[in-house]
Amino acid sequence: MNQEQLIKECKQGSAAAQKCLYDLYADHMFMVCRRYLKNEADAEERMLDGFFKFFSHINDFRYQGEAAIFSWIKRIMINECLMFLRKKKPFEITVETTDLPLAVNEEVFSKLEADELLQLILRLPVGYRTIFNLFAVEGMSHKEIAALLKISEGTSKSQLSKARQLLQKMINHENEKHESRKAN
Amino acid sequence: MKAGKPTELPSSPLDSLSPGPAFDKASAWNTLQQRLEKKKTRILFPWKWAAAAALLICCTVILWPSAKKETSMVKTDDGKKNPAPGIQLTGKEEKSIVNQKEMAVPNSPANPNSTADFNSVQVKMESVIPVNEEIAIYDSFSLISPLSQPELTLSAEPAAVKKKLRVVYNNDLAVTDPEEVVAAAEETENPIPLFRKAKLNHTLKAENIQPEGITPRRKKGILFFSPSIKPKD
Repeated sequence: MNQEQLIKECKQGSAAAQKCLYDLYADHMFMVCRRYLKNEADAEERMLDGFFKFFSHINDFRYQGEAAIFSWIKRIMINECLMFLRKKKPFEITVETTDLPLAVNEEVFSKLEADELLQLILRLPVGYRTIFNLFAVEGMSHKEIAALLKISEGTSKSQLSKARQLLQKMINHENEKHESRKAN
Repeated sequence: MKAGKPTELPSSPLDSLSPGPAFDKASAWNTLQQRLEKKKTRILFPWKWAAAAALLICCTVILWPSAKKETSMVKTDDGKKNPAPGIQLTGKEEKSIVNQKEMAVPNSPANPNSTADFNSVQVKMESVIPVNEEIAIYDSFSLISPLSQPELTLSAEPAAVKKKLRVVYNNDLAVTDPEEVVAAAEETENPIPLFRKAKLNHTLKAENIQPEGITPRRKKGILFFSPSIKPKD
């Protein structure tokens, strides 16, 4: 059964079709939520909220391909996570419009494995992590991020540069640890 | 985000990672399914409420007139139980007292701020038997109910203005024999007997009833008197 048919059956209220779609996307969406939220239980809860909204509003969805479904569900999940974070007021960040000099070696990130990078991202503070995720992982512009988080573009840029610097520090620190272990 | 216009959010390698053992997919699905089923029942819920509301409205519409009748019956009973003092209700039960207010004596020494409402007691003609009793009167037009001032009816003062009058509670309703009233008026020392005659006995002609010193004013062919009324000491 292809995804178009699944969507049609979901619109008719078929629990089996809903289960199929859930099985297809649950793992991916859990990891999306996990990138934004440190706590696994919170991530799972937001993922369930996201799927609930998806199935509740599936009648508004027009099938335009598998990528469109994935993209739509992912956006719902990200919105759920951002709403959750906004409730906790993590974006009360001091506004710094001036860009900090980016002394970040991009090669450092490219050498990292996905799993390692995820662990490092989770160690970032909430504000840094959110903006890094939106910019570097989701591919949004600073303008979009500013509109989404209701902050200025300058804040978004400065937070991103700080996040990158911090990540680089963490990576260097990890490398030093690794080398010292090898030397011993 | 608007449906049908998906923004490009491609899958990243970070999303393809395994969620690990902490994520229980099956139990999460059970929770989700329960929530979805709850939502389905919630959709049906407003229909039940709507049906209940419609039923309630129908019942109200059907039962409303009978409820109103019951209310009017209660009022009638109250009127019978507590008739105004000085009024004897007799005979048929259909006669009722509506919106009975306490009648009071205006400008009386005991209750100077009260107002007399002569129209408040609407009693059918046959139901009223005027009570003959001596009452104190300070003004010929301040017809009195002894309701709020019982001591006035019994008190002897001021003796000079004490008159024997027939009490009429509502001039419009309690019309008695005009000749009888005129005779009663003549018995009293009324300062304007002719005025009373003119009012109560319509057969009298203007030239016969015109008193000395009072000039009648003509207003569209009708004699109109405006006497000043003062009690005679």
